[in-house]
Amino acid sequence: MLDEEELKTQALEAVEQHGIVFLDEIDKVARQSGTQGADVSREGVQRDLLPLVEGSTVNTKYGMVKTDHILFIASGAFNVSKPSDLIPELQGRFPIRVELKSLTTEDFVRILTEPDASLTLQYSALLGTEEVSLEFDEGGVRRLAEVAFHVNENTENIGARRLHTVMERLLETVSFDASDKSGTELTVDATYVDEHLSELSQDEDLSRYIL
Amino acid sequence: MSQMTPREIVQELDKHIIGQDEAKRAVAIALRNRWRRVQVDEPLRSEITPKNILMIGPTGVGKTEISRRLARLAKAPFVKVEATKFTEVGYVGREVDSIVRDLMDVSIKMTRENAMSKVRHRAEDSAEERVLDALLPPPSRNVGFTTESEPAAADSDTRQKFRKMLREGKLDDKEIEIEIQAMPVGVEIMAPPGMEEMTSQLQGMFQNLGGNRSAHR
Repeated sequence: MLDEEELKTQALEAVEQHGIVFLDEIDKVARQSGTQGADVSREGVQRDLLPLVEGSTVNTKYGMVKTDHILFIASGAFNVSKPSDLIPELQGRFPIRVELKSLTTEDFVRILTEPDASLTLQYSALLGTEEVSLEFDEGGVRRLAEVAFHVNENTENIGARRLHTVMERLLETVSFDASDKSGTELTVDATYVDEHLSELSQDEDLSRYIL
Repeated sequence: MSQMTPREIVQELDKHIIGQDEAKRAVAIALRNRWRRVQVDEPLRSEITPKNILMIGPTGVGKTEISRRLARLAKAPFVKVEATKFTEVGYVGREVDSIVRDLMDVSIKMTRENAMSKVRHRAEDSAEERVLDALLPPPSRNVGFTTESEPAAADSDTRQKFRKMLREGKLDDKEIEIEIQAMPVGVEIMAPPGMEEMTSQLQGMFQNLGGNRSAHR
């Protein structure tokens, strides 16, 4: 019932007019100042990206696709390199620059509780399948956020992902025992967090490996 | 394509990502500008090119998450690629043109799903007819000289009865045999890196070779 030709035309139209490409890790193809020699996967890639971003025609099995109106969103941490290390032509093709800020303890608290599928909800739901009811009180969440922030400060800053590692560690015992303990309840408060994490978060060397 | 206003987009992103308002606003504007551009008349429209965005920020603050959520909101073909996956043309590895090919594949899939949901009703109707045909084979028309004599019998009483039973689910445990077009045999081909294009062409060829047979089910 579907007209394949019609489908192709529509799809082509959608790509040319509305397509969006998200280019992650763009900073990793920036040339680090000082390196020389054949840079197969860095500057060359940037130069290859140029016509694509600029607008060119690419041959696909569904026909020629013009890339003039495809929106490109690039992102990168730019830890080592700077946006100015990208080749100038490419810099010019990304006129809008936005900076994302590092996360604070306050942000962590909100990340733990506010999103539709927040980490706390996820873990409660997971343990709920074992009929263990898991709750987080305000103090517990705050303490957790503080620990995560602290570890980020002292070791590598991996942003919100730190919450995953911290959370996993915090609930390790419960997660293991839950299957044998259905029907029990657990409320995570500040004391619980301290009991399970303080040792680790204090000891920098240890948290480098575990958290 | 999404018709959400920048404010709505930011609100939607807020549900999943904390903070980073500047970045949210930027992508929301960019998304809305897509819609705005389509409203503009030619020839000005083709002159308006998108303003690409560069997001800068440490790891784990939501760059990738924003893009993932945006993809769902955009209702437009969307691909996310890591720039590190590519190598310069002429060297072993993926070349950047494959981004556009991936985007096209995504688009085809999206368009197909859309189109399918549109014809869903018609498909259900015709499926019902097929089932009824199988249950009550229409009187064969080419017997002897009576070829033209009973054309309107298609929707006879019995057929109506069966249709009713079918809709009420009373026939769910019956098994019937109908002819369908066999799915073309899929051939997976492993290609050396950088030659994915050739793979897809070969696959298309094999599918055409095997296509259009009917099978019993």
